[in-house]
Amino acid sequence: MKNKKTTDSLTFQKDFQRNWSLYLLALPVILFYLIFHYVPMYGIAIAFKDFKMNLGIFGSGFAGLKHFKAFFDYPNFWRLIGNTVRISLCTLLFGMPAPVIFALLLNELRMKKLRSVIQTVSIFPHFVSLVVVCSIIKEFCLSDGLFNVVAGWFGAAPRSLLQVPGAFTPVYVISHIWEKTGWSSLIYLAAIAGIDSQIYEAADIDGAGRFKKMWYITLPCIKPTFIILFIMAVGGVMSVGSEKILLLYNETIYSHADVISTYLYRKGLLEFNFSYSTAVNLFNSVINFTLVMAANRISKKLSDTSLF
Amino acid sequence: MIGSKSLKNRTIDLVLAVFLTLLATVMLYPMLYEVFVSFSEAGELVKSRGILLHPLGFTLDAYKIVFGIRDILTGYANTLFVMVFGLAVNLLMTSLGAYFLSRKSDRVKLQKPVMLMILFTMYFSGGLVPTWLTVKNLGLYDTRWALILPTAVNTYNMILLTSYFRSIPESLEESVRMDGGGHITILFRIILPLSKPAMAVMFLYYGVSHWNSWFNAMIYLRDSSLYPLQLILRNILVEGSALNTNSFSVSAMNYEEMEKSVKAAMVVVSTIPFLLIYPFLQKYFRGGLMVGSLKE
Amino acid sequence: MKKKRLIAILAVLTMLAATACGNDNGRGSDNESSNVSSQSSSGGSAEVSGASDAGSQETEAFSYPMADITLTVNMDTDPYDMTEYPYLAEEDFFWNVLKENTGVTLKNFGPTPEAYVFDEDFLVMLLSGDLPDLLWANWVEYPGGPAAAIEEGYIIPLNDYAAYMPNLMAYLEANPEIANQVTLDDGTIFCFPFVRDIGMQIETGAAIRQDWLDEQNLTVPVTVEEWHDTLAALKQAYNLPAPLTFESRWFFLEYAMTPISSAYETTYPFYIADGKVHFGPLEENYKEFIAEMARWNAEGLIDPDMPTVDKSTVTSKMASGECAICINQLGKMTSCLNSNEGTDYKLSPVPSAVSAAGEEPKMSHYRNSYNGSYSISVSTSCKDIEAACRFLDYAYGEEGSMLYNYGTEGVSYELDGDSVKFLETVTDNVDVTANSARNAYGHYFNWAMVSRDYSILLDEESQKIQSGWYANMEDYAYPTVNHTAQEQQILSDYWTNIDDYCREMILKFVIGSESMDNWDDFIDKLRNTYHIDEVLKVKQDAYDRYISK
Repeated sequence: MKNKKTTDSLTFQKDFQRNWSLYLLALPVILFYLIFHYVPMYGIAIAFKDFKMNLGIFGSGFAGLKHFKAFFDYPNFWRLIGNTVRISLCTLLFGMPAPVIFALLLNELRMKKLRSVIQTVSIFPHFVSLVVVCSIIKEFCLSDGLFNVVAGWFGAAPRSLLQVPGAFTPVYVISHIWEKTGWSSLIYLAAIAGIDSQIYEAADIDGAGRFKKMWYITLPCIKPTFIILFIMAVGGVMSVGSEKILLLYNETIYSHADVISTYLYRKGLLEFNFSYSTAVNLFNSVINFTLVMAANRISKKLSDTSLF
Repeated sequence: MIGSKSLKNRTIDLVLAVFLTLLATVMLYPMLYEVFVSFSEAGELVKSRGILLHPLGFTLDAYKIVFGIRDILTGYANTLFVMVFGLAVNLLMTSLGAYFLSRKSDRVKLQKPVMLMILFTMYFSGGLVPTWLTVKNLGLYDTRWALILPTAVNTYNMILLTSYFRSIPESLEESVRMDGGGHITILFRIILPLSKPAMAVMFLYYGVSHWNSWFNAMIYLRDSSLYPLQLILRNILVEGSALNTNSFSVSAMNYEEMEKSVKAAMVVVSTIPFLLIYPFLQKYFRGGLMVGSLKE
Repeated sequence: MKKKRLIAILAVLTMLAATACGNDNGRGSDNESSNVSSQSSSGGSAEVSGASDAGSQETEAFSYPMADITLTVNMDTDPYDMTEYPYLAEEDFFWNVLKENTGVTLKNFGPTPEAYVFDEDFLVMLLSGDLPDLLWANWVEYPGGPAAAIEEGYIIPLNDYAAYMPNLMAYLEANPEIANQVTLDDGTIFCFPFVRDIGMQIETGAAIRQDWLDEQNLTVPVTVEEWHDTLAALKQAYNLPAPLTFESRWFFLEYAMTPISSAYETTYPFYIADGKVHFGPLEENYKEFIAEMARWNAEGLIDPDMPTVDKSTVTSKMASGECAICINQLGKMTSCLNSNEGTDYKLSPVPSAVSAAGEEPKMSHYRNSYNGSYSISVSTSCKDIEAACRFLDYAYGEEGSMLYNYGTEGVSYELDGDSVKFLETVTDNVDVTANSARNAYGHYFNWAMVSRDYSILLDEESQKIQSGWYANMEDYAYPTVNHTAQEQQILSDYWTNIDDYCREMILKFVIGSESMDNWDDFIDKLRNTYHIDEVLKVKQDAYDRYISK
């Protein structure tokens, strides 16, 4: 309590006297954000204008909330929101734990050579172009693809998996895990590698088994990283990337696969409407930012780990 | 007692090894597929469908085309330049930022506002046009710096690093502080050496994003002699010019059919450098850092 | 060579004389800073702008090449770079010949355009205000169209410079259809158009396994009934999972489903019949067409993966004998043939279906000969408008047109009477395909020019397939029109949503996940929620203006 009081009463002047060298270190980073992020920030105004390139942002006519209204009036607005939220929540729920589990298992593997081979291989999918990854997924889902061959052993009638609306989210999430797990597990492996080996040694002396060490030492050490990543992922709920969905979906499953970004892509491709897409993105950003702040606050209360 | 325990342990090891190997095989497949396709004969590829388990025929035609592309070596060199300088800037700036953000917040009054300000930019941005104009007004347009400075810090990466820095026990800094060392000493003598695994991750995350990026080069560069590899490859793929008109190195054949294997060869060619670097980074991911040794 | 140099010297002398006389008066402000070389090529005459009678005098006085002019154009690479054409003598390379003949050196400056989209690098170029002299782009796709591009200050209207482009003017006069599409409603000419040859206009169609037909004593289907029966017969005879394959996008692009829908005399999206613009889905015929497709699908005649397959899967299904008929691009047909070389594999074109035997096919795949793509305009940054016009105009004259389309006489082709015969340097080039060689000696598509004999170098089989597809689509095709700003607004508000909705629903009707009974609801929604009638009216108005031009 006492400590808190002193903080509150700390004046800027005193703070500066004490921390000037720290601020000096941070100055390049702060400048970077000011110059490359905050100076262009006026571009958000495009959302409220009828942007014309030759007139510039300030010269273009004022449109008010027209573009927002156009988006809300889109007949399938709620479908887009629903699909976006469903796909990203499922990715969050199943995609987030996968790299943690993978890193933990890899860490338990004692065969050093095999371990490094598997680790190397696991980041390969990150290097393959998304187009190829998706064409493999599509091949797998065709009516005569691997999935249907296997399903056929159990007597299921073959069907084109990517034409079954309900199957899209699972296909998306599972392939996401397949594609991203290795790459995302790197940060957890780093966190594990940073654990002081003396702690494990102490646990050995206490006679702790493998599982106990994993549960009581490794897991708590990567928990903060997980929580931070989780909070940031919550802030991405409204912005499911368009690229992969564009490659995987087709018109017959729009009802479950069409998300905000893919809709914008189609709309933008034909009309190159800066104002409209800026407005929609602004709408997304406001929701995302609200979510991330909420997640941060909740996390701070529950786990004591937070962004700030 | 001990025997049964080690037996149990060994069984776990074996199950784990089998499971992870299977998993790795599944993860390896896309890359293997690219390799197979790149060596396959075009005519066979056209007819094939489904999973490839080996190259269809064997030919180096696709690689001949890729290496016949003009400027491919300049592209490599440009990418390398951006990688080296870009990474240096990235790692320095990100560590500075993460160091600042990882200090105990009740002692640094401006930390929370700065964090908020940084976080805000993850969600709100001015968009393409104003950002482009800013870069141009800074005089970076059509220079290599346009590929380095605007991407100097990735907020996501910096927050990850911040969280890593926070996990380093504060007590380790005391000795430096007692010797009268400032923040720079703490950062470079204590924090960074203890953060090798995290820095290796930063190296990879930033490095790969530099390696794969073409968009900034496309909008900020006009001088094609500065183009990085990925932009050159992309221009060729998008226009298909290497396939339609200019491929002298392959004898008369149908280029429509070559398309798939040439694309695959490009992926392979642009991935190899990373496979060469990766083993050197991997040693940092092995556990067991001796924190105690630093104190000496 | 010597002669050309002499002309160049003469031109320089004339230029000196002209400058000495200082007859710069009367020129527009655009020309104030024009460099000396531009005056050289104008032959020293004083009045040029606008006056067409002065123009005809001009034409007689002028001759190529102009003296040493450099123009910038947006393309990614240096056109004169020959590293990838080692099989070519330097003096035979298209760009070098063009430089020699016109006296204009091109310098690459800015990104090569996409055919139908303005992508970011192009936008950034516009934004930077740093424009090349020659802007290679599809302004028809620009928001607001070419009129906006002129108004916003990117390109200039060319009408005032008609005197410098006699060849283009003559071409437009001889081809009023093209002229109608190239000029804006108020008569403004804004670009040197890229005009497609028929071989580029009809590139997609249906092909069938002729060897299988022969084995089964069947013939190429003509009516929709025959299509159905042939598909069913082949499915059974060869135990095919589904005999017909194609990509679902063909339902919606460039009249590509016409091989079947032609029998119903309808297609997606807009087409002309009886002077009226029609939107396929609103027509009863179109409903019948979709109902038939749904029936085929239910009977297992259409590839069950149709909505998801991409072109390479379709090609491999056709090449490997999993399917008997496919609707695909010509190049992919060629791929199927090539990969089965040395076997019995044979493909025949299936002409567009008709409603009753004996009728002529009505519709086919079709791309307008001019649709704006790859055309070249003169930018507002251009200092030497005359030279730019002269340079571009060269492609529309006889000499230029021959060079662009066939290369250099005696090097890449010979004239046999009136017909062109390619030489071995092209047809038997050991290094590259004939078409590639042709495009090194010439530049026969995707540039401001009139393309000729596009398919002439294709192998015989492919040519046969392509010619089997021809139907007189000109009457049905919706032309390249100009929309007013207000119309543009309506289109941008409604069209993408309509198109999205149609694609989704029509495919669902075909694959049976939506019952045909709901068709009327679909139409109701199109009209009431998606404002199709307003869009149709815009299309009709624009077409009416186009016709009355």
